[in-house]
Amino acid sequence: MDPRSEFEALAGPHLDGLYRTALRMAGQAASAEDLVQETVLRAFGSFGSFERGSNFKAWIFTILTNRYINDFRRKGRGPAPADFTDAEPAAAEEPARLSAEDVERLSERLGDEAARALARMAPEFRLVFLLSTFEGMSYKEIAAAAGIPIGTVMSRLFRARRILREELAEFARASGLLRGGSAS
Amino acid sequence: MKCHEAKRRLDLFMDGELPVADNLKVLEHLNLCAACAGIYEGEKALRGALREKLGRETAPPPLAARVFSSLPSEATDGRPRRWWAVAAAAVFLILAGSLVLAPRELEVLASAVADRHGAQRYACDEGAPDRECLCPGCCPDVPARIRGFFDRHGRPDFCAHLELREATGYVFAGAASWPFRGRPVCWTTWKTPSGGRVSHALVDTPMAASGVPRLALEGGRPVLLEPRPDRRSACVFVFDDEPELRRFARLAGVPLPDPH
Repeated sequence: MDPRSEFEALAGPHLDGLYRTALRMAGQAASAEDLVQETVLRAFGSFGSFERGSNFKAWIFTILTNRYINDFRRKGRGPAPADFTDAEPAAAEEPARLSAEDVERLSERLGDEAARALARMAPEFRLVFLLSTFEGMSYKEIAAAAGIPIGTVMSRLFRARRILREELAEFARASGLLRGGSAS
Repeated sequence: MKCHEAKRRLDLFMDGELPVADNLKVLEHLNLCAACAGIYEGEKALRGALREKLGRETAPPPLAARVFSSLPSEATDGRPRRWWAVAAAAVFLILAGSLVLAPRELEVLASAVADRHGAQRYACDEGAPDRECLCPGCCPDVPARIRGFFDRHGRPDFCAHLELREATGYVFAGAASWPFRGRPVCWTTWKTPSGGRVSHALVDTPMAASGVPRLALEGGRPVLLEPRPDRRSACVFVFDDEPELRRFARLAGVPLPDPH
């Protein structure tokens, strides 16, 4: 197989995932399309250095992440990198939880509210959350794609989930969708 | 297993990241404890609903067509011409020829770099106290003297994190800068795909005009000393990863001297 066909066969199945992630990171369909296009071009340019048999998905998502950081963070269009060292509360207080029934009741609005909460979330948290939840990537793969240690993947994921649960619970309480006290 | 232990492990459990033994313990606890099982069910429902609502977007069909039709007809050799890679290649090319002694100053620096090689000091991305990041491109807090250094070398937005990772698969492991004879040394260390490490340091140093790259041993590790073409600065590479050392050599198309 010539390199171009080989590349297309490998990259094709990941276009949806790349686009989904780009869309949630960039916020707009047009930017997401640009980001995916640039990612694929760059990946093809570097395809010679891709080690055959290694994890193509992690590799191409690494390039997407790099492109995103280059475009958004470096050009000052995104928020400045946050300092996470003191972000963890000293006492591990019980995070907000939604029961299966709460999720069911929220169902209609859950997609929109979750999308809104994700859009507000710091991009560092959002990225690990997207890669884990929607792309099914392992901590190790996320670490490689985001260029951070596995421990940082875990703490960012933990924080992202916590933020999302709290925002959803808050929305549900405010709109009276939950019975009193079911989201604690 | 107690409830608080099970709750603490719940995310890892659901992410499939627990060791088998812990996995079994969580499962066992969920079978016995209705309260924790309720939390698990809620979490499972939330994840399922999120995937259902947000995880099914697909790329617009014209995008795939546009993306693939815009590819050039052939892949390049796949190795972007990063200055450091080119520098490393040059090192090996010249190594094959002559081994001429570089000024003593570089050896002293190499020794300092080799001492730090393997240290684990995160900067920048990790928000660690050591904020002297070396990446003017991605870190707004780069001290002016470091920024000036990259400006002088014509790479004002150079980003070691991104560019090296993309070119080599190395994962950033640490960075620092320290003064060396009144000039800043910019140092980074990287984990390589095979689990070893490569360190790189860059310093302004008045090199003798005849200074040429050479291989040395510092602290038992192979070290590359390379005056940069401007004769005002030099790179030091430290390896504890033979495959990577050989990879650099392959990159340059030169056989590495037999280490034994």
